Amino acid sequence: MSKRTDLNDLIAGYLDDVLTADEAELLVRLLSTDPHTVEEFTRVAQADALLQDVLDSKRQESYAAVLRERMGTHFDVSWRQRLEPADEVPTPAKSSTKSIGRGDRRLRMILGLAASLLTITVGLWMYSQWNQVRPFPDPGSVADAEDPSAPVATLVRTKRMKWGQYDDIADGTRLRVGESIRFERGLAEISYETGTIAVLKGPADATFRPNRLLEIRRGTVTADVAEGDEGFRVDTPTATVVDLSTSFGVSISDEEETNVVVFDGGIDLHLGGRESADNEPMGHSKLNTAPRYMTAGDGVLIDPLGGISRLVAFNRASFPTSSTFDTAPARGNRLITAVQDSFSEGETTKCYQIVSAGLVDDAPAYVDRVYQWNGVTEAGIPKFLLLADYVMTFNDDKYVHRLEMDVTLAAPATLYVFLDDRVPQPEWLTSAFEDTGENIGLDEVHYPRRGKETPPLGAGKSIDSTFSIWKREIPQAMTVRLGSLEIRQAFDAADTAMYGVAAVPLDSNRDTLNP
Amino acid sequence: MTDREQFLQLYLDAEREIRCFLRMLVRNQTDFEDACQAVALNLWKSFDSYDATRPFGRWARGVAINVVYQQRRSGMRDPILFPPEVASDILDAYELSLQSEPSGAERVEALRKCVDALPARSQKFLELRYGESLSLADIAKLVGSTVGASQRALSRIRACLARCVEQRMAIVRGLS
Repeated sequence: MSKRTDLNDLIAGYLDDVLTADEAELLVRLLSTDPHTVEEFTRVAQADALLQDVLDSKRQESYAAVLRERMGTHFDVSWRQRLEPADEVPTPAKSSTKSIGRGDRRLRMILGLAASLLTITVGLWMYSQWNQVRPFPDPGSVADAEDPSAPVATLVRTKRMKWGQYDDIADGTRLRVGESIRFERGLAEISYETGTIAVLKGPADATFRPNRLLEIRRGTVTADVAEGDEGFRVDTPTATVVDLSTSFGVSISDEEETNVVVFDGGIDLHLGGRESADNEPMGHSKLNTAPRYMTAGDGVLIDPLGGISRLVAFNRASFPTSSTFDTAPARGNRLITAVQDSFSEGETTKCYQIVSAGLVDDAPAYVDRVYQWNGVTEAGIPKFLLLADYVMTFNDDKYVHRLEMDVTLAAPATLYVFLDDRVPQPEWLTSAFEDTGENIGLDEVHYPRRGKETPPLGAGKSIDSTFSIWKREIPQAMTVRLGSLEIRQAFDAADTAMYGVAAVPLDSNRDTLNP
Repeated sequence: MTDREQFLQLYLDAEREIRCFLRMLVRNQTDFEDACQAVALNLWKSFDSYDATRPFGRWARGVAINVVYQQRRSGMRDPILFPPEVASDILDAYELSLQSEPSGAERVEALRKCVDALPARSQKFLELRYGESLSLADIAKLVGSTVGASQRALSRIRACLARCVEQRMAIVRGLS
């Protein structure tokens, strides 16, 4: 494991007793100098201590044994009555072997037992709560509205599949309500009878439920919902996504975080954890919560307790689609690894998409539009940009003044910015970047409905606006800050578009990164 | 009420918070149990010096710091990582977090509800780590993950729980 430098990692390392000497020294130094670190440490360590105190079942069992024994002889559990017969009362096993005097021993036994009594009361209650068998309710046990024997979907194909400890399922297998698909690694393309396509990415654990509900306990699903199949649902332990005509992605990380992103159309997001779903099929009670409407380009992160925050950026490869089955995986390392911006939580729900080695003709340009990047002529986009890493920004950001966008590069690179020729050149661009003299085109397709309008494919076709390509050489891995477009109030912003961002490795590195 | 009865009543009321504070400093379980006993004995011995107009818990935890750092000198299995001044800062932050708290039981109740609301997989992590006291390596094997991923998961769960407990306690304070 690489050296921990992040405060949360250091605190976790301390609590899990895995800090190296250097890391321990760093944590002590931070605690000695930074009050915020002390607060954060105390907050998390306090939760850890309380968990240990409450969840230490071995200790609770030993106290429980004492209580059971005494209760069996009508022993009064009041601590007051423990005072006199203390020497005769067995105390819970303690590990200390230190020698103490008779008076101290008596007091120790009194204290040990008296203290244990409070713990017994709380402990037994907690123990019973904790060990109560409360598995997730099995929706399959609820009377199904559909014929359970009827197939609802088909496993069309798999890619780089490792079933591992789980049962193999052959391509072409029809899948029924109540059946599950589990695998350790790879991709599975599932086609519903309704035409909806769901691509699962492992490690995955999903179950087909009645009424077009796909229950995900682990993994990633990208759903392209067929026209007429609106209402298709994906359920996770903390949220239910209800489709409103769209394509969207849902993933559950190892850290139990759920990411929900919308690629097209809109969804209703219902939040809720186990507390609200104990006696009903998963997702059912969550549907009684007020939905949060999400539209194309939105992304949220839901923590294990249902807390919600904006997902700022993700790599598009995290959500594979059917087309992923037909393309070779990009070789080499990712060049653009992160994007951050100056929006505060609550100001936007839009989410940047990083596309590794993805810049080609007809590549989607923005997360909130279906516009495409294209060469301005049939020759296509400039060769130096082919298969560049690029960022799908928000076209709505063109209106935002004082925007700061931080793009993190993992290696020396040439960073490109595509600037709409209809927009004044901002100072942050002209002062640090140079105009290559080359252009890239934007094909603007206005609000198409699925299946009714498709952007023309191919370079040089249907180009609505031209963007100048600016470049800046970045000699080392670093984060580069970009600014906002300086559109004047009187300027008709509706006829302009947000800038694009792309990066290719500097020549010396190009062979080792995305080809 | 005799001194002994008064002491026991105060001690029992404050015991959980004393133990939790000690756990933050003393990570070795055997050292921790020894420290708890030593603190209880020292509290009883110095009970005469306790000013009844001041909160017992705060006084007790102040005594606890002195006791564990004396114990550190006399030989612990695993030494406490932090110098006394850092422990003192942590105690201040800890006391602040307990300020205006209706009762220790409220915090336990808040924790229970927060854990109840966790997904099953998160609860499993907690059960293995705290209930069974398993190592990260053993947990990773049981859940079919890596040590690093298991530690990150635990870290995330702890942070979530801390946040959740704080929020619930804020609500309790508002209602009380």
